[in-house]
Amino acid sequence: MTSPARRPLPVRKSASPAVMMAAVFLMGFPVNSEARIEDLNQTPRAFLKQHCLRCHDDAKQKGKFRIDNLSTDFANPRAAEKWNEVVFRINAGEMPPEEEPRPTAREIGGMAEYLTAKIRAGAAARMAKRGRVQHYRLSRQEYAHTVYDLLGVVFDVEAPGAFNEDPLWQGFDRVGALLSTSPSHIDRYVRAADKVIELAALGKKPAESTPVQRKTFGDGKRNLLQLGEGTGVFDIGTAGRYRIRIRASGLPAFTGRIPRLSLWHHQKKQSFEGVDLVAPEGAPRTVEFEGPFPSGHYQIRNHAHTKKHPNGGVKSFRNETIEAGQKLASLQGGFKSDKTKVVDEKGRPVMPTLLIDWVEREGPLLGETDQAKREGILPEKEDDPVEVRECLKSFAGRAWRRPASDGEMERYMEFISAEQEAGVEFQAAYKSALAGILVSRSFVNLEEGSPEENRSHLNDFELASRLSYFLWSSMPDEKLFAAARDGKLHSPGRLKEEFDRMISDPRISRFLESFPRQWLQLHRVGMFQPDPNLYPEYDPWLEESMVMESTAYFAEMFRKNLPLREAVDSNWTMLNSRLAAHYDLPVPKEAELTRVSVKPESLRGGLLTHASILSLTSDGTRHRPVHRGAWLSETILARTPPPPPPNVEPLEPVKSDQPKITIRSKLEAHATQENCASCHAKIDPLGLAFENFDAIGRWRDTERVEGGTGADPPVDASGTLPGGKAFSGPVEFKRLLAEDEDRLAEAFVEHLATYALRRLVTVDDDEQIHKIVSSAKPGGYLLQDLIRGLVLSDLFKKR
Amino acid sequence: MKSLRASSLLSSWLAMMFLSWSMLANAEEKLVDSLRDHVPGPGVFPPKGAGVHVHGDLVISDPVNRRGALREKRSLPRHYFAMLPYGIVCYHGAPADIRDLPPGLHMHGRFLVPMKGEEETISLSEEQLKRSPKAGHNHAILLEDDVSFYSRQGRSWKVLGFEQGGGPAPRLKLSVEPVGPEIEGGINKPALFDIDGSTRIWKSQQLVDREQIKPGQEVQVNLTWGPFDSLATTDVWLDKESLTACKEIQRQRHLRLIRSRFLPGWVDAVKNSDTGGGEVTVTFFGGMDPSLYADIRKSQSIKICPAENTLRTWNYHQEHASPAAILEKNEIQNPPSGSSNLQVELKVVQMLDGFRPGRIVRVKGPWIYVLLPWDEHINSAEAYERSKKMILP
Repeated sequence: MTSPARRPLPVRKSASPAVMMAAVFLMGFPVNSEARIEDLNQTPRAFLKQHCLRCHDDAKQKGKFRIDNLSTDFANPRAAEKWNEVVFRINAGEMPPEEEPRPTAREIGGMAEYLTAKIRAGAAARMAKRGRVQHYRLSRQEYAHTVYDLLGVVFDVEAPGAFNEDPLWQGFDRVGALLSTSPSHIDRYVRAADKVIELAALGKKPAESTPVQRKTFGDGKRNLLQLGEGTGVFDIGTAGRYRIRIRASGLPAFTGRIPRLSLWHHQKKQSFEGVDLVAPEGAPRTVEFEGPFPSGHYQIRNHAHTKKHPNGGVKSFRNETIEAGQKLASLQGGFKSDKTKVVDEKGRPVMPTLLIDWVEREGPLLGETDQAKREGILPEKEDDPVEVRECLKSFAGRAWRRPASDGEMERYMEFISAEQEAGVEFQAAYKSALAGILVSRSFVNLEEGSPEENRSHLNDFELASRLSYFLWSSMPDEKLFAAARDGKLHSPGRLKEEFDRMISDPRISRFLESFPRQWLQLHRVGMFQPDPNLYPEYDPWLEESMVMESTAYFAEMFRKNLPLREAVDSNWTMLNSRLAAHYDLPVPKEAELTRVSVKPESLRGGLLTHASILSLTSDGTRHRPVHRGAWLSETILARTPPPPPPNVEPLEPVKSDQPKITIRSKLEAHATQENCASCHAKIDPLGLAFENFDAIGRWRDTERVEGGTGADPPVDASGTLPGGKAFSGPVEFKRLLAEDEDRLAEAFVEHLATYALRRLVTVDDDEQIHKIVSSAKPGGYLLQDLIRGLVLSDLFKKR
Repeated sequence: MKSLRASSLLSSWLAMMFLSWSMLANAEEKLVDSLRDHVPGPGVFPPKGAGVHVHGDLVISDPVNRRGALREKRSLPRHYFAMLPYGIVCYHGAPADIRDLPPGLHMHGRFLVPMKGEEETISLSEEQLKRSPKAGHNHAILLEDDVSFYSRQGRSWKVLGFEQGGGPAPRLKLSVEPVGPEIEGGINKPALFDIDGSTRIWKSQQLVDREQIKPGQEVQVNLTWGPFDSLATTDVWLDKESLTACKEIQRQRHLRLIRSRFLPGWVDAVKNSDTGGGEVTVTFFGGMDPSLYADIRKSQSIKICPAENTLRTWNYHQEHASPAAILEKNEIQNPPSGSSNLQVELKVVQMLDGFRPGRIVRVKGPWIYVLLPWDEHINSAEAYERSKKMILP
């Protein structure tokens, strides 16, 4: 069943002459409240009159939902969605409310069946109303991946002034209806395309060797970095692929906390690479990173502790050079007693400590694969128009992800001639034409459909693009293009073969990083920075680790093809030493993020008790249980609660002469007042189940309350799910939620479809989604099965 | 036969008694010796009565390092000394510092052998140690002028009159006799103190003439060197009012000093945190004005910086201090010598290297921060090395 409260599609006004006439005729006259539903049969009409219109007419408009004037033009997608909501509510028993006279089960069934049939009947008409061609603009990240896969060029889409930020819808950055194209976008695309072609250095011979730059800290010296301290090491002028090598020792603190060596971009204030480093002071290790790096100034940082402290001002620790052979234990006493402690009374490092010997930067690198992408783009014979056209066509075919026609090349050929006539050299003119191809509509958008016919299904090239942008956030590779050219991609066997190949390719990591980030709305982590006075332990490395935990968890579920229920409840999670310290769990043996089993009493199995999830709804000072409930409803159950009514009073702080009470107690009105309870009875329990977790996801038994008298009150995490099942705390809640596997799967596939199809799921997709879910049910809703099920479904192949 | 047995029994009994008595005497002597020669350790206050009493004129003073030298007699070597970190100076009956003492002032001190680790602070030759048996007891727990020394122990002087001295340097003398109990190290019999036009005579908070001194008056005096190892008066206080006024002036001077240099104490215990902060427990040194401890008691947050045994801090001691919140205040019942009755548990933002058990710290209360003279701080490794030993002039 489709979730009813999604944002509706853009309104398409019904062109029915009858309605227009009625509108003209009725202007100035009292409106007949049953005018619309007069079109329905007698029985459903009577049902609505008896059970619905008392509250959902123009007088009361309960829940701001009117049925009296609801259009019965089922070809109208908006109307169809609203009627679908009606079906959902009466089927779920939510409507009519409990205190009203109840229809019989037979009456409900009959009504639901009637409306559903009406909705289905309108499907074809709704489809016919859609435009013949749909454009879905690439997101920033997709653009970056695409130019890399096309030309081997690293283009920093997040550099200041490069591209506009993509608007998000419930965390998704690729919803076509939101990704509009404005003159500002075109301007940026033009500049970006010029830059990309320039960086591709077409026609230039690659350098024989790549330059290596080494940074040291003085003869026989090393740089000591305590927690949070960093030292500048190199600049990158041109974004590209680089190999960075660092020779360093990493000494855990006396508590076992391991230092995180981070390659920190100074301007962007984020870490690009890092490693949990354990290497004794006498036996340093060389760590190596290779990958794309944007331009800017880079530091090595001992990641990271907030520089602010509760009394204001900047807190700093040791950042100095020492003799290479000097033992840490000797760095105590003497002249430096007013500096921070390096070793404790037993000679062990007090904080995680790094000792850096040298840093090397090699690059920009151009591997054979990347070099190969640039071959054949420039024509060998500049004065041969046939070859020129063929080269352009071949490039355009790859860039546009479909064969280009001779006709489409005309304007580019004319452009090159015009440039040459104006005195521009051929290569420069040709490269400008290439840049033009990269600015064209067909490059920056995924195009689906054709002007000549109203297709219901994608063609092979469109399917190839949809598949590659789904799994790799980028253009198809040569094998996928070949399958499309063969015309066989639609066949289930071939499609499955390509899917299985693609999920084994290293590029699947883009999906494993991007999808959970968007689905779980992880962009909200740290949006409201926790107050350092209240949460002095919160630091940037913790925040990074939190997000990594959730994306790595999803990746592990995918790689091991685990059942979907483990997203909600499991006996494992992904931990590094920072998270282990945060959760008060034993530090894992491996330095890096690693899968660890957790005992049930630790409560940390599954996504819902990740610190990232628990903190992304906080406001910087406290947790917000209603927001937690809304997040869970939207993300896990695919039901977005309606927004609150205007002028709701904010929660008051506890007065100094009154006893301390929890946030939960202040939300009592949600349960007792009728207007509030209608929505909040479904939202609040989902958030209150996690009352034992504070604003940054730490466990607590009492809630810290500022002000007021008496002791901090104990936490109450009990509640009742909308279906009536009671729970006493998070353990029971997760178990109950995980048991409803069918619902979890439906919701998950809806979100997956939004990501894959780049649009909101509508009532017309319900049946297909249901089929995908049913086919994965016998296997226990294994994650890869669900994703494969989507790809092989008719839904995936439809426009 | 019977008488022989009886006499041998008596002899045995007498021998036993003598043995017991000499063992007891030995033990007592050992106890006295151990008290006298008690070696102070970092983090542990010495027992009451430890050390020896030395008196003399203050002939050398190094206020920055809290060191100096006393001269007991014309012919005796100087008694070089360093203040223990918790050592207290008293002047005019109020807490003071070396810098407040005028050169030449006659002082009384309680001196212990050097703290563990401080044996080389005052390095003396064998010759010097032989000439002056007390030279090895050169770390002072208490240093006070005569008026502080005597009035603290309930002593004053009754004026008997004036006398004209004879000999090669005839001088006018003030004749006095002690009032109050006998005290170790003090003059416990009638004495003659030189008096002349340089003596300040105080009455009703004013300077008055010598004629105001009348026999029968109960007075206090401060002294300095006089010819042929006599003692000469610098000040005579004829009433309590005048002494109280001088005491208050000194009290204010010391308050100003501590508020700008911060209240000293040492670290009892440390709990390091792996994010660079942690908890430090500090006991404050005693003997200072009660308002200073009261200021700390009423503070929520303070600043704490490390210091050396000389109580010297590093550059810009407030900037190099760690902010800290007071978690708990503990009252020490019957604090030992050197200790106050206040111990605090602090949560520090930065665990500095000097915050280790037994190390000295200085704590800033709610006082206005002032920059100190540069030479008072330890500014360089070279200055640090130089400060470790007393340079004996």
